[in-house]
Amino acid sequence: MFARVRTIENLKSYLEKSVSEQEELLAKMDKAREDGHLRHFLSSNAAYLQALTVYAHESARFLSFIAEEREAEGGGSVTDEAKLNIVREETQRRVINLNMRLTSRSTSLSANQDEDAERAFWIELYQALNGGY
Amino acid sequence: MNKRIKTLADVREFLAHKVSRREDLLAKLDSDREAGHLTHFMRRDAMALVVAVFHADEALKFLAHIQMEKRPDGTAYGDEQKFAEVSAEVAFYVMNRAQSQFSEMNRSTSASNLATDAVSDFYMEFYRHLNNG
Repeated sequence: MFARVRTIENLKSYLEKSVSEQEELLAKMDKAREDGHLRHFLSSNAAYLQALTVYAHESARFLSFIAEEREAEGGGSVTDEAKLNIVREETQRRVINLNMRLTSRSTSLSANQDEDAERAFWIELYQALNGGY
Repeated sequence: MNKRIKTLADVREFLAHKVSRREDLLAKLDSDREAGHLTHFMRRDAMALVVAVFHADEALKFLAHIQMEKRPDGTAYGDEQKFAEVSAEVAFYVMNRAQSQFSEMNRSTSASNLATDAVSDFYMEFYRHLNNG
């Protein structure tokens, strides 16, 4: 049974997973390069690495937002609950916006794959925040 | 206009270009990664890198073959013979590939399709250079 992201701690561990998975995969790629097996590594991991890079990039952005001390409008600092709400709102906005970009595919495979990974990231995060993941 | 490959020196030049393309992209990957711009690299060049790695790998096999000064049985191995054998091997692959295009039944569902396509692409390009320029 998947857990739903309900607290800022849940969110942090959800996001940190992508960052650490990317680091692990990059370490595997470095090892494959050293051993002269980059071809084998890429035949099974090329698309996965690109998707993880997008996931890790977006996750790292949120993680630094969560870690940052921010001043609230009425004074004091932004609470964890308020930060979680900001993430929820941005995620919802992104998911809605993604549906409006369906007709603007690039002619570049890399760019399309990047966009698909971004789409998957936001949908997964939305599902995690709303329905469990 | 593409240059037609007519001599073993032309073959070497074609193959060396494939290897240097991979080295250039790997250097770009390293510098973008170090600068924290891995996502930008992936968005532009993820597919190009995969293709370049596969092309270079095939090119290195041919380069190793044409570097031999003697055959394994100790007999002389001249440039003209090497050129003829390389041309024959490339033509053989292309003809086999042309036949297998009638059956795509064995297509994998994974990223390994990309590997198959990249290798085919290498041979098709090599064949074209050997025959039409």
